[in-house]
Amino acid sequence: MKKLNDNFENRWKEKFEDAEAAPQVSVWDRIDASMAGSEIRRYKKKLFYYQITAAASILLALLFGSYSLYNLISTQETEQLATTPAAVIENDDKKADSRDIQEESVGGLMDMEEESNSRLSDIDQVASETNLRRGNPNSTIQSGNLLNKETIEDNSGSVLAYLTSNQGSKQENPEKQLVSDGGYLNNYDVLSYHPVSSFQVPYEKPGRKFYLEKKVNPFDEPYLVPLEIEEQDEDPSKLWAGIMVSSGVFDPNINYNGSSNVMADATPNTLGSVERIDAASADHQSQSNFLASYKPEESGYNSDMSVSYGLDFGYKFSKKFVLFSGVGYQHNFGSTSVNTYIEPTESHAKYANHAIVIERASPESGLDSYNELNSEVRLNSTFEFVTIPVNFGYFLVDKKFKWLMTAGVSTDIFIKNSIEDSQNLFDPVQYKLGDDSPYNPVYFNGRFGTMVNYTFLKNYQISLEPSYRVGLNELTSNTSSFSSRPSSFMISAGIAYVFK
Amino acid sequence: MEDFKQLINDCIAEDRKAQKKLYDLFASKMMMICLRYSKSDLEAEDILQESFIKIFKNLKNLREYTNVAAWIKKIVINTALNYQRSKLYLYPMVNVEHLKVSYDENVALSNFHHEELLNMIQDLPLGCQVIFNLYAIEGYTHKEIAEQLKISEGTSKSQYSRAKSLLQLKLIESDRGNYEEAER
Repeated sequence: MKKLNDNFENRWKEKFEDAEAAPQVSVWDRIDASMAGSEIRRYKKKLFYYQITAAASILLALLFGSYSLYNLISTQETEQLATTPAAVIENDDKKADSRDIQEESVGGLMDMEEESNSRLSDIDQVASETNLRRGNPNSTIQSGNLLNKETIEDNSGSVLAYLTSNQGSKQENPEKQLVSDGGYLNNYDVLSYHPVSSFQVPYEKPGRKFYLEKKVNPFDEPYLVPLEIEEQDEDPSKLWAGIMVSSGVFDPNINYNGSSNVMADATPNTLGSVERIDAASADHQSQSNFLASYKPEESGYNSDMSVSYGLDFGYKFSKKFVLFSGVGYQHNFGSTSVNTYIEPTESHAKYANHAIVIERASPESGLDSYNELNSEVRLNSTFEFVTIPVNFGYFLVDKKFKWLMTAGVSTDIFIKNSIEDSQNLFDPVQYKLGDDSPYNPVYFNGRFGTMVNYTFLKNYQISLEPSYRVGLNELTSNTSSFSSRPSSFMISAGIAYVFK
Repeated sequence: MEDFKQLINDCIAEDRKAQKKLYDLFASKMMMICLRYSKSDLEAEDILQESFIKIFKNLKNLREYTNVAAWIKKIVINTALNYQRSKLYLYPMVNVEHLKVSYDENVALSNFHHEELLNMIQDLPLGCQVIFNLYAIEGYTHKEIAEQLKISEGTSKSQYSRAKSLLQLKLIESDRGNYEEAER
């Protein structure tokens, strides 16, 4: 603020210092209405959030309640079946005791002693008429969780299970007998030789499978408990192999450090508007002056499209983890631009005057000429690698549709880096593996991503995986005038054959 | 002071009676400011309304209770400037030629009621009006005005000079303008 020492301003200021003018009453009314309106809007907004929250809470409560109720009923039913002798496999010593237990049995279980003779012929008939299937004795058993929602009088929606004596010599697995949808005890041998009783195992929907697990009650009497088999993976295979194609963006992240021989003594370009310098016409002094002030351009690389393709395989070594590996070929593109070029004395070629080119086309012994172009010329750089990834995947979802988080390391073997201009004005430059190149022959990348894949036609799966990779060490060697720690974002798609 | 603090807290709590009380405390004074920056009563009332809505919404951000009046005044002036800004952009301020008024600047204002002076200010071209208010009455420097209105310092000076000359002419024309020297 300025000092008020001017009479003119002071007089005006004084005149208005205490001046007042009463506004119309309607002004407050408008303010009041506006404030009330914004309050209503705020209230409505809050109300909306409360309504949404309330609705979400009710929905969650209903879902949770239903789930809890379902679990409770299932548990009770399972416990009831588990504690109730489903049937008694009698022998002479335990006949009397087992009869007492049979009196307590529920759920259509029948006494073996009373029924077995009359049913034996029926069972044989049923067995012979049924398309018997052999179960998978290796399937895991999930205890409890028996679905027993309804009583079905006509036997539809239930499975008929037969109890057998464990004395049968031909039983393959007397402890666990598979019963499946609409079928019967699947072990024909057991059925044929040792049928003793049967009972209904209700099921909620076709396709559910049950085991009958034999247990022994406190009276040392065996009884069977139907247990639902845990749903197995749609794709139980552990090994798959296929091809993978990736596309994305590769950024070489090149930084110049000016430590090369070429630039060791170089000072910033003092030539200003560069003109063609002909060695023939320039005297020795002017040439050496030029070389002392000469410096290549150091514009950075732009990220560009990259592709890779290769073979890969996956091995599921535990329930939740999978190991991926393979081998791939990477073709990464980048670009930069120059507006000067040089003609070194020793090579008699034209080279773009860019640090990454000059690394190879060193003008140490002198220049024939140094030229400026009218417009910038784009230099395209192609990096080629062989890559060997080793990644681990963790299953978040492991069904027919799979979802994994992946992370690992890939070893990239440098093959070559080619630099060419878009207009073919200059001689191309290539750095190859084994040459005296500014690149390390091998560098490592850390990577992480997420993969989804889907199994189809039993033996095939397709996958999609976005992933991010970043160099763990420098791609460039210590002696290089620039450093590079590439990073890339790729989206991979693959198809694999699943071995079963 | 405690009462005033309580009043502010009640306003923050959106107590409408407290808000009305605060409005009544400052409305008349702020209305005069609004009038100085506008061309009509209607415009001034619009600015006043907008200002108090801003004041009530932003009271919670007030850190000190000691200088509420200055804070309110600042909001009113800023609101007025924003209100007029679109018109100022429409008719951008440029350097104007200084009117050659060949009389002493020390014109006496004592014979004028502030309402008459207000009318003279309102009759000024908008750019001159705004800059005269900011420089002569609010006490801003030309540099501060230039930054605030995104104009050059030179424009601010020339607009002010023009405003000053126009006001002096009006004072003389009103036939009651006396030179301060004459008064003495």
